[in-house]
Amino acid sequence: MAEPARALASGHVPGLPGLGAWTVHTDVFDGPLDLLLHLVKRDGIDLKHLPIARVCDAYLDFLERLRQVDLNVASEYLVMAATLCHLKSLDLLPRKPTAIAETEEEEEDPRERFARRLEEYDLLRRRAEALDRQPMIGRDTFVRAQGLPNAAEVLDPTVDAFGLLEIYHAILIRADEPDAVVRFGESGPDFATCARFVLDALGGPGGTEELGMILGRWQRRIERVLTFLAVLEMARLGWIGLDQRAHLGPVTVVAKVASDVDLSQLTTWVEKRDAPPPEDDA
Amino acid sequence: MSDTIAPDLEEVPQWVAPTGDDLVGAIEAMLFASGDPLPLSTLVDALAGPSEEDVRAALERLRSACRVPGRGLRLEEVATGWQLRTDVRFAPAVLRLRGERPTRLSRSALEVLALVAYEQPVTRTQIEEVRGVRSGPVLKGLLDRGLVRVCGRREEPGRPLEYGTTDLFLETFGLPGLRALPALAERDELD
Repeated sequence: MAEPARALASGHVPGLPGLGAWTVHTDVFDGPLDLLLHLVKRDGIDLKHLPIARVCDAYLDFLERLRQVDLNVASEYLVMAATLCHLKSLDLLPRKPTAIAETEEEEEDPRERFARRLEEYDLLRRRAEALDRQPMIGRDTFVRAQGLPNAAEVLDPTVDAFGLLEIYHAILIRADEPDAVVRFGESGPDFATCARFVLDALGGPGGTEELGMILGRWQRRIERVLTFLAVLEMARLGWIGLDQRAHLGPVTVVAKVASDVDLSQLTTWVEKRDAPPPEDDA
Repeated sequence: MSDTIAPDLEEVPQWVAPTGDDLVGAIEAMLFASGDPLPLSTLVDALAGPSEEDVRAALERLRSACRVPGRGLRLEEVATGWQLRTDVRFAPAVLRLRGERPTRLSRSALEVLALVAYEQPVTRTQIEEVRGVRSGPVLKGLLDRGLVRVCGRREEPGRPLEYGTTDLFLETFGLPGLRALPALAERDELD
């Protein structure tokens, strides 16, 4: 983008003759003040004693050259041109009668105001350059990266609730059986079977599989719901890790235990939940 | 597992606070393990023994030890504490390792950032007046990157938002505080 723009600005466009109307957005100058500052610096003009007429001519000359190569000039550049012409006219016209001048004495000369504005912008530019010379993280200096978690580490914090909710909707709700049939008296697989199914799919410590893939292998919703719950419960117990690299991205399940792990801990939880509360708790 | 950087020292009765060379080494180890900037107070608390002056002196020793030729790390004091950072000279090596291109801010982003940093709090209108161009998208980009934050509303018609820089800004540019912003030599910096 920058190269063709520069080629156009220079008026030489090899191999592209007579293409008619160009619409080129030039990033070379960052606004009219930037262009003005460039011209002032180029001509070695002292900002403290700004010759308005000379600056105005240089500016209009530059805009004219941009026009000749058919560069679209943004409106703010034209506003600046008008401002400069107005300021130049103040230089050429005689001073106003003293009676009026007295009342206007408190008001700042627009030429001084303009010169100060340019100085202010110049100061900002130099400050920006000074800031750019500071050693910057990611460019000049680096800090210790938080190492990529390996499969054995706890990965749970890297998955967000929205990621799980997304999967819940995509796999469990929306992608339900095409012919939704209400079934009575039919119980789904038990919790342990679903947990074992997940662990088998992972195939031992370090094994990974995408959560959506695991759930997708079940035909029925109840099976997927139970498997989803089993995944959450096993993550809570630290048997598996959940990893999500991008917000709303796919969630990967990582096994941390062997696939033939004793599931009694898991099923106890389910039984405990279903059983009436123990009496000593009451 | 504890969320704090300092271990639960009461459960480690055999802890003997390091002194001398060991204090410098311990601090280096802690800084490396942390990665993030560590405030002096955090170091003092975790070491449980050496005074604040001792720790500060050890930090200064570590800082000069890092300046020895042949070392790739520097110890810097930034807004939020002390941090080990790679030497500027070896940035290309780190970038090659990571296979990354250096993070760069565009010239307009630098201008807006400089204005906010030096003149804060500022409003968007102020920024646009000085720069002479619309600056909303650039400002939003800086907000998204966490370098600039909304720090209030100005009591004037419209109650416009006021912007200032964040700790992340100071960290990113290796500054201990806003006073450490590079000063310009010219006289007009004064007014």
